[in-house]
Amino acid sequence: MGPDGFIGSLYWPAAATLPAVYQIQAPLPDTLLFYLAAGVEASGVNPGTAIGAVHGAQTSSIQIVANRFMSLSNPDFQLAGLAALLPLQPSAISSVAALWPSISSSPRRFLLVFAIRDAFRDPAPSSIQQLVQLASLSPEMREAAIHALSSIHTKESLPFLATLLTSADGSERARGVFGLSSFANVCPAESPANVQSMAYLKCSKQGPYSTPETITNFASPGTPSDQGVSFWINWWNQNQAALQ
Amino acid sequence: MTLQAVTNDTDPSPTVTFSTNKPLLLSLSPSGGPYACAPYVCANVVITAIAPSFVTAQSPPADYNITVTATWDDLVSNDVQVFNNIPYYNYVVNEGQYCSSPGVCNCNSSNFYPGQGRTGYVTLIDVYARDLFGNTLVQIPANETLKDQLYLGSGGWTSALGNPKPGAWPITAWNSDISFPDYYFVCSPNPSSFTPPPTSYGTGGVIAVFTETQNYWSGSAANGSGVCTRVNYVQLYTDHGVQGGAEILLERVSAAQAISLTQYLHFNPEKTMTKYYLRILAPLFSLCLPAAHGANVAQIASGCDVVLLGTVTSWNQTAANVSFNVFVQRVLKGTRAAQRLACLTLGTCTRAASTMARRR
Repeated sequence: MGPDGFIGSLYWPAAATLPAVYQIQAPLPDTLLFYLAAGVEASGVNPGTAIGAVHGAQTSSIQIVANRFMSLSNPDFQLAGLAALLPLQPSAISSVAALWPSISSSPRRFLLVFAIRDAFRDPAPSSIQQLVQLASLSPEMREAAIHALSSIHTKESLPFLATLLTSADGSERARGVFGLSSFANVCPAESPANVQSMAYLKCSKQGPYSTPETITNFASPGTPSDQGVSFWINWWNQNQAALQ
Repeated sequence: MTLQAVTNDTDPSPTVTFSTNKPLLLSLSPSGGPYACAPYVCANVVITAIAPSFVTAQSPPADYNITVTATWDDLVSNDVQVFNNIPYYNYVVNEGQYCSSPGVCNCNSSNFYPGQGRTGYVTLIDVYARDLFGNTLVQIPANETLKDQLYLGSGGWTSALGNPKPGAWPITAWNSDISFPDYYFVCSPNPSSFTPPPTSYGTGGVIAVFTETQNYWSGSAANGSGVCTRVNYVQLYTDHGVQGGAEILLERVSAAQAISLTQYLHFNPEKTMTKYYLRILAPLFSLCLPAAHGANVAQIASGCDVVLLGTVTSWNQTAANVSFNVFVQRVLKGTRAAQRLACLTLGTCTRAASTMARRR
């Protein structure tokens, strides 16, 4: 519901004078981002407004804005900066746990939660370890971390994904099956770029763990059957020594 | 989406037909009339998604439960397997009190009734769209319908106030790539005329003064069109608004017919190319389109002829038009001629200040 029209939808906040950190020669998209970020900071409006508009700016400019936001005392700006930094600098995932206590009750926290759930796909073992730790922060962060880990489904994520197979939560069991079977059948990581095309379900099935059985047990839609879950529990029991 | 039959058969006038195992989910029609075939190639069949492959949430991988086959004279092709994905549900986050800037909140927010002395609140709900697999979808048009609207019926809270009107969120109205805002608000110039009176966010009693049923629809900005992706109740209290009681949607299948689902139609490539006479011609097209609000800096930089930095000194808004005065401090993009053309089109300009009007 809302009024018939919003004047505010016709312009972006901006600052007449840029902070020194933004006073650099840059292409127009980057300059626009700097004015927008400065305007958001000066007015205190939702920092997600700036973070949601970064596409098209140079990586270096996005990093400048993200680091600026993270240096501010307002937790909402810190989480927005962190959300913007994650795709560019995956090691920033290590900052999430420390920031969480100050943002866990902020309505804006979903900007960061969804940045992890839907977009953070760094396969580095250190990032996997961080995601596993985030899964114990809160129910919503757990759902985000599980979604990310099962989407990445590298070898390092398998021990955690295997624990999901015995979860009391059916959706967690399903993500566990998806993660393990995607690894075994050599499927690409799911990311925002391949959701609509569903290309993340186009698997090569040519890996060292691909067998007719893994392929068969990949093709079960909906909440996995008890039989399907049992297959992947057995598969993990048989292969974990080689995979750990 | 089209399929084309191709063969090494030299028959100059073959008989070619296409068929599907799920005609209620997928329609097949010749492109430009009956299948016109020539040696080696038979004209396209246009495939249109009618309804989703499933009406319940799915775990990956997809079950390609729709098949298309071609028959070339007496030769039957292998199956082309198809999955119809769909915007499946809306995930909502109640952001609480809405402030356009620190200390400028509720009815005084810049988007509502600033400086008009109205009393009440604005609650912000952010809404996300996800597909059958729980993956977040990027910027698709959305709308809502409202029904069973009911006021408390006493203390001035009666239908004479008029019911809230349904909103629509074309992609230009999204917050960002992945969510759009929904505002619940009560803003009164005469709060003392109500019992209990409206108050600013979180400062009053928990007395519901208005209820309604809200349906969100995805895939279209026309109210009531698209796929119904969430039904919930709305309760407006004197100091805040909430929604809850989201329902499982049984009307989704029939509603799906109101929009083109072809953008969510996917072939299983592992099953389409194993024989030699079927091939896919058209790529999937993107959901993303340039937007004004919810745009990114690249779209603004390339899509706008003139970009100005300035201060909105005053504005006026009606149901059809918005006009505003801008004190221009810097021109970030636009030749002098382009600026002048913009001013002539939209209103009048002076050297330092511009008056612009835009039809919304």
